Amino acid sequence: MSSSLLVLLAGFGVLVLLDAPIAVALGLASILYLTITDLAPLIVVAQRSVAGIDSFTLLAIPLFLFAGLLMVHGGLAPRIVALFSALVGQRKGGLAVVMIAACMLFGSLSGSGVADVVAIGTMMMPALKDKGYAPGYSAAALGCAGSLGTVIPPSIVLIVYGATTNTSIGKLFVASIVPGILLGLGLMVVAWLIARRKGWGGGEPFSFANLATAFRGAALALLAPVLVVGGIRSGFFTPTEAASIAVVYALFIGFFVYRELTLAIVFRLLRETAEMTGAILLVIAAASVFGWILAAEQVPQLAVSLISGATESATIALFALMSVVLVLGTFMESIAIILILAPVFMPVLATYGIDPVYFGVLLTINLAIGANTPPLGIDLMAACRTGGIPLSDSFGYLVPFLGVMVGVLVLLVLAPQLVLFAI
Amino acid sequence: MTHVQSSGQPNPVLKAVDASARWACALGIAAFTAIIFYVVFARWVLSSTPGWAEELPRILLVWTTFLGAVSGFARGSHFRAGLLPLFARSERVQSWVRLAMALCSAIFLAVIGYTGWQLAMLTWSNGTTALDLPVGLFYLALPVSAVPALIALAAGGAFK
Repeated sequence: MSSSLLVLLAGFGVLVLLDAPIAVALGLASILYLTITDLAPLIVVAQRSVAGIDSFTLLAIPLFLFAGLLMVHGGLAPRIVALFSALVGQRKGGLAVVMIAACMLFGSLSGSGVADVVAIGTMMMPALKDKGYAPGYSAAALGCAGSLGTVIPPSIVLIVYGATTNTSIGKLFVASIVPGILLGLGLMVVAWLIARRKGWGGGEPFSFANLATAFRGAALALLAPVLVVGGIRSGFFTPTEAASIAVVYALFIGFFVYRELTLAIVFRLLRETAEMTGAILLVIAAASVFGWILAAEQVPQLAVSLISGATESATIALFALMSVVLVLGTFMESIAIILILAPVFMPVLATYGIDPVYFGVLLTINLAIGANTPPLGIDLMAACRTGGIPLSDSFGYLVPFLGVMVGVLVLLVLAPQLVLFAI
Repeated sequence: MTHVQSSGQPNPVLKAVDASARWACALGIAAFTAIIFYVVFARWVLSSTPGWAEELPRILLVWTTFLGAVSGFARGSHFRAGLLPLFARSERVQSWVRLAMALCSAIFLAVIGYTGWQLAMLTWSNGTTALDLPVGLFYLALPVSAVPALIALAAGGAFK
């Protein structure tokens, strides 16, 4: 490793530790590198950062963010909660199961973990508290379930992965459905076991009339993921086009069916989307400068020779890559990790014959786990903020939830068919 | 360093920069949403795909990204690791480090803005494939966003 490459990595590391914005840390480390070497003139910063986001595929990100916000404020999210409450909310621990199921379904509408946590958490956390559930437990369950938004399609993280590695986003979406459901079921079982032992209660008693009403209310919400994923997979539209259809669908339902949207709300949500888009895509822009330097320095080749020198087993190589992502995921933003590591990992995957779609799914599960591990567990932080409790209150309950997620990850590493059968 | 947060009364310059960046970016998002939906409609219902179907939304995305990022600098809402309080307990040290990091953001923005301007000028006479717009239009988003972002940092965004 050359000493200038060390400057790049150390510069980035120090800036991240000192709480510079991740995008600035990536960009400034790259600028520093370009000034001390003669790799390329500084103008490459402008060229690469625009090239990194000048992509039709990435347009899906603001569109899915906007669609997600419209669905929360247009009345879809509360109807999803009502449906699951009518279905399983009555038993002991039922409300926690309702929250997790709602996060899973809502994840299939919004595409982002934090959006998922906030949308479902705002509705469910007070209800859980009323029924005596410990807030730390609810926050841990909410953070983990919400992070499934990055696994269950349409996931923004998968879109970025597909765009960076030229992997079919349609295949990634379909391949992540079963792992997403397995993770959700795992979390539900853990949530239910804990809640039952503690004797935390359920909601309204079960009735078919309730269920039928709730189902009628939520039917349009249930249709949205089918429309999006089905449309992409069958080739009717690209992910970006599907996202624009999701926006129009959410607008239509919010204005004309549920009648909960107003123009003022839509404009406010557009401005919120604007800020989130700037935050996410600026990281992508800066990371593409950084990634370009890594490629020019032949870091991917370095990674291949390092790993293939150490093991011949694809499974061990996979575990090695996963642990790198898991460690980085505890303190770094998911999209930055994908942009930096995916190009470095691609040649390693090719060497071992690992399918990039399969790897992409494992990667997002890793990142979902990372989004709930301190210090930078953004989903866990959002969950605790929603519940109005300090982050540390959730630590005691976190281990079983994260444990079951790691368990599913290990299962998928050992049984790739669970992911690959669908594509 | 006592002026960590000018609570209550936000700087009017900061507010104006933040609000206009958010509005401009919101309009951009509304525009490309409509364009992309129209393209799907045109392909399936009118059986024709307009020539600008990809290029125009892509230009809009580049502009909305950098304009949207201005709001992040004004509000201090860009993604960070959040590790600082773990190893720098003293408020004083933290506010110094925050100021230093704002300076780093400023350098980053200055370089992005300056090189963006250079590249925009270099490529202004080249036309894009579909619409024959100046290629420099893509890169012009960098200086046009970097300047208000720098103003926002100076007007108080640095302390958020």
